[in-house]
Amino acid sequence: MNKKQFLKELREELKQLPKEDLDSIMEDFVEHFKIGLSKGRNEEEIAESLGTPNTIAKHAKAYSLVRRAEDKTSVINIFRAIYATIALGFFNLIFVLGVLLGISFLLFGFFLASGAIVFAGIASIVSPFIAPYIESISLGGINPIAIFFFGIGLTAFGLLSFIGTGYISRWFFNIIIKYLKMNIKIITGEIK
Amino acid sequence: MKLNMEKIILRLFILMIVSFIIGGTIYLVTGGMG
Repeated sequence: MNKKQFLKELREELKQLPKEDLDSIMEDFVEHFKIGLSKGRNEEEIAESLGTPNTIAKHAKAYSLVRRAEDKTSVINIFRAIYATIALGFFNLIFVLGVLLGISFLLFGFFLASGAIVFAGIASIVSPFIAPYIESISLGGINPIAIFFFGIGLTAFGLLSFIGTGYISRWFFNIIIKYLKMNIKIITGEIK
Repeated sequence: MKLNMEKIILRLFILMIVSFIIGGTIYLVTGGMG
């Protein structure tokens, strides 16, 4: 394969990547050819030493997706990054996928629970004021002022657990991203 | 405007503790479940 074919195939394989990533990778490979040619090697030799465009593209896609997941952390971006890394042949990540799925649901549950606590808190704040007018609301014989203050405390607690779950999620996603990066580094030979 | 998360958390925490103490005290003083 000569330089023109190689670069054309690579561009074709990488077309799903964001333009800036694509351009930077293409530039890198043009540079590889330039350096190789200046050392007196021919285009076919250089293309062979670089690997097939398909393998390079898989790797670049995984790396780009991991970086995107890092910039904009969301469950979907992380799933994409994991999927792309699995496509590189890291089947150990199927295990990570299971763990991620489990913990994502758990975190989702925490978010829902926090929301429910905030809702209960707000209801407790409001109920002492509307209970005298609405028959179906009973304060259970508890002092209305006490319920009002419990409501404020409960709302604050719900908001705190909401914030806390946010922190736990971010911390957990960062670990997953680090793990993915480590896997990709193994294949590029940065870690041996 | 950048939110200062630490300040917000601290205030919420203080609000929670103070409200629970006030609410709890009133609850106990007024005879609990009535």
